[in-house]
Amino acid sequence: MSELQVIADNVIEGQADKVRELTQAALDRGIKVEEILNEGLIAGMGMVGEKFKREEIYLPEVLFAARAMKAGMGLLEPLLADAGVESLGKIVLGTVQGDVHDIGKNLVTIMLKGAGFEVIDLGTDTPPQRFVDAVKEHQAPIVGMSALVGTTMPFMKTTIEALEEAGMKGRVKTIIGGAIVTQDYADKIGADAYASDAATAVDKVKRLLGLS
Amino acid sequence: MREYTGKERVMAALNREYADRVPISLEATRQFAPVLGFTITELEIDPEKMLQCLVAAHEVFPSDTISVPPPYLPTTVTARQQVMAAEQGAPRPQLEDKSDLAKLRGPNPREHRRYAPYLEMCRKVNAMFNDTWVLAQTAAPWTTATTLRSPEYLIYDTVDDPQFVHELLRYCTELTKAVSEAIAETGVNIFLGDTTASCSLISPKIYHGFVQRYLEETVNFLKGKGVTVDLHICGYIDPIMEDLAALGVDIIDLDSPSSLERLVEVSQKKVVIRGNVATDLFAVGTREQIEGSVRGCIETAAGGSAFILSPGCAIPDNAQMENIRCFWEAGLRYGRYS
Repeated sequence: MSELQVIADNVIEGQADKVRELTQAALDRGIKVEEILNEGLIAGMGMVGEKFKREEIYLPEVLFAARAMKAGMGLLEPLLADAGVESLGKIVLGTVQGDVHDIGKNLVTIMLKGAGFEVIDLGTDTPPQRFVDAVKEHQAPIVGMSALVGTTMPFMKTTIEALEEAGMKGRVKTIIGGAIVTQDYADKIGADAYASDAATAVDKVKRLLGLS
Repeated sequence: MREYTGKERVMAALNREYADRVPISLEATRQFAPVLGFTITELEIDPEKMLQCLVAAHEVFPSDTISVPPPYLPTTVTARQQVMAAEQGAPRPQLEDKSDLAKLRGPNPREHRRYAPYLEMCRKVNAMFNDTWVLAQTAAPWTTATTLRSPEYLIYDTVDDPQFVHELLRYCTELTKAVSEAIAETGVNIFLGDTTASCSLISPKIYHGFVQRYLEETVNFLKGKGVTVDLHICGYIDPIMEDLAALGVDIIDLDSPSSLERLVEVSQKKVVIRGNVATDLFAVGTREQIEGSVRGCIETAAGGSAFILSPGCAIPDNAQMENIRCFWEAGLRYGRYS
């Protein structure tokens, strides 16, 4: 079994300390940063995403795997620019106004970063104008929103409207997710995409940017 | 057939008998805020305004159940910040530092500045709506634990420090029992909310390893006091349905990601089922979708009684009044027992 496959397996198993140790070992042996990233960390997280979609594992296992991947990413991120690995694009991400739930958002952040995106994480309780301001500041083409409860879902629509009022319709795509959000809801409020889980979010973002 | 009261309809469901129609549970209190000229934040920091909205909603949609508005559980961050800024010694500190668990002291709910007004509200609502099935909410141990520690950290703790999780859950179980007992003394029924215990967030492994025993203990305690318990877990519960059906609660309040058909099959009418029309339909659904969902729920679950029609969870604040009305009218139309 290759060294990178062992890293991937330990990501799948959620072994953060082991992933960190193996990632460092791989770097010390001169394996290229992008190889460790793609064939170790991203490959492992990709398997986790597939298992989650097939309902073989649940959110906690994804969280542990994401934590393990993050442990490896912590060593690679400072080296990625020097290695000539370019970002696939920028995404502004946040939990909507009034909502303090962030597990889903945090997972999507890790998955997107692992996939090569630059994520501007606005945190929780994000008013519509903060999304607008972040898009302007970072020139991000994608906005991702998370909401977990029915009382805060309406702010997804409010944020989309705010982006439109700021003249960003068509230029900025929106993707939404959260336990009670549905494709139907996304269609009705004019979101460009809906993701039922973090792994799907990465696929949908790539599609929105024409990368797949 | 005579017209039954809301309380009688729910009692019939609990006794596996038939009233005049399927009971309907529709909590549209927050949606009446704009009707009365209030903002949501005003409702959450002023219990009297929340009560006015509850009364107004019930006049238009006389739900067979009523939930006592929880003034101490504001959902908007703004309201929560205002409430906490106005209080000293908030009863739910964040356990970012696990060692702070040793400093926690469960409040006496009958005297605590936050719980005591809620108990008073329970008595008031119960007296105002004595023909209706009145419920008051309390958080179950696991959900209380996730509030104190955060769901993400607590999930990590189940592997990194399981002993801490059990210690925290012990504290939370005693707190839940104390609050529930005080609520039950006011004469209302218990709505036990375990919002973070579904398989949308945790796994069956975490449920069996950590959640179940404390939930069981809480339910047994309440049943020992003669209290009717309605358990709600937001999200997807299919993988743990058999366990939940065996807990001994009176009512399982089912969210829309979960299978009503499966719960009917698993429970075999040993528990009353409440649910489970998808909540987003209230905001963006069509008439056909809402009526179809209501009819589907009734056809699936109302045979043999032991069923209460309701939305799967709290309906969104931007629910369209016409959609709420559509749900209500469909419930009346399709829920009539012939």
